[in-house]
Amino acid sequence: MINITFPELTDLPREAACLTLRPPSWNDRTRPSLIEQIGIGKAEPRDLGLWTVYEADDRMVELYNASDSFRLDVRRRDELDGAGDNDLDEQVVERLATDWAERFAPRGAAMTLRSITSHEVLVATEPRTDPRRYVTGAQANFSFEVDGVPLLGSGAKLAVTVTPGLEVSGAYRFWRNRTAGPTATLMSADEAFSRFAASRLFANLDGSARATVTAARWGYLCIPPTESQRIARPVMELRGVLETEINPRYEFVVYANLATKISAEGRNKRVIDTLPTLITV
Amino acid sequence: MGTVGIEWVRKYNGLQGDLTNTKPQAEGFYNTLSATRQFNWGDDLAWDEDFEQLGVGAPSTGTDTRWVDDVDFVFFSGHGSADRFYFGRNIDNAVVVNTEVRWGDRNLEWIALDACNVLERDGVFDRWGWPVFAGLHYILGFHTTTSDEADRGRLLAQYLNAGWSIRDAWIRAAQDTEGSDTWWAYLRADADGTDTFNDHWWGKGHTSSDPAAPTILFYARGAC
Repeated sequence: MINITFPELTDLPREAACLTLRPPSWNDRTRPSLIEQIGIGKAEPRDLGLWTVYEADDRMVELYNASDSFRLDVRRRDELDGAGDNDLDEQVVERLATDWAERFAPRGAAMTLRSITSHEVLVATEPRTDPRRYVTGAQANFSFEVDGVPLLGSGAKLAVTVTPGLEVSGAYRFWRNRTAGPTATLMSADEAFSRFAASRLFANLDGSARATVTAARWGYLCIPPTESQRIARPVMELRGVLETEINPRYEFVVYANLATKISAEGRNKRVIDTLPTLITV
Repeated sequence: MGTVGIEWVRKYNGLQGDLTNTKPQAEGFYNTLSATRQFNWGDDLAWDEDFEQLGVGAPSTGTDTRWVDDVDFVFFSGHGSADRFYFGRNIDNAVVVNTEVRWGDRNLEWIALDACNVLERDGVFDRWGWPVFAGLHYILGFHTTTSDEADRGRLLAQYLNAGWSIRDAWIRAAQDTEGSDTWWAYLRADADGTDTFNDHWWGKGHTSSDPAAPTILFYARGAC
């Protein structure tokens, strides 16, 4: 039996409303409106299945057909197009990125700047010499909360990339509009930890393995913006380290189902009973 | 039409923690990419030797010319760390270490290592750059840990099928499927007369000739 260390998790409620997610609001009015707001001009849409794409000059906007998500990309000649030698001033990046983000932030959610990260390129021209480092931009990463509860997973986030020339060279907003949904009864943190300890991740390990959960929080799981999602359910996100002889540091992030019972009937029950594949506990 | 092969590991037989979504992740790529499918080896049938070159490194066994280096695009899904990625069955030592591989001297153009930390920045050129690139165009991977998820392989293939370049498809597939704590990364080689930056999947746009003797390597990373 493997030894697992868990952190304290004190803010887990007994019940929580799931989020019912609305189908995307794209139509012949909202699509051109967004494209104009982004400033791409009169581009013709191309439907590529998962995305509807608008291109003009060096700019491309991709609308995700399954969610209210989009991406802006300014094409480059190569990795070093517009690159600089130094990291950008974070205060300047924060101001530019926040200005941009606030224009496209969804309603009904609190947006928080989580981090500013550099886009880096290293270039090497021969073995065993130090590569040269370039900075091609800085990415401001925003997360969302609904009524104080974080939205977890890749399907709810916003990012803005600023170049060394202080222009926005890329951005995306991953989002689905939502309303309050059926109420879920949640298991205790101890019960969730027990299920995690009994999960597939540890099933075949012997006592020489050790695991530490370094962070645990609860929130609503939002799956990739390319996918249809009807309901966002409460989950626990567990981050930590698993040590085995062959791999002394496997850093995991795992999503565990928290709902023991969700009140729903008929078609809604079918949706609720289907767990996203990302929930592995 | 290009050729594709995948290997994935869910069952680590006690060597490491078992995973859940590596099979659908890799098979999503395999079954979606517009390509001729050459091999799909999973769990105990996925072997480190398939990635290794005979006579290189230790152990010196290797059969990459029959498998990984005999197709255009390979997708691996399983555990990884900075200089290696892991298998569940001990054929020679259950790991592929950077010192055991030479890719692209037969066929391989692109390899996605969907495993944690393989493309960690510090020292990356000494691990996976020279002399691993022997005609290979790209290694796609992550600077950080990644989640055990099922969609990324299929999405990568869908982006490639729709005409995005190799690098754009990888960055998009990673951003679509990971939170911003995860960092995508890639290594790319070029040589005189090649242009791998603009590489596309076969039949979907420009594909560079092989950088058989690379003169320059690029490493890029960013948050998802």
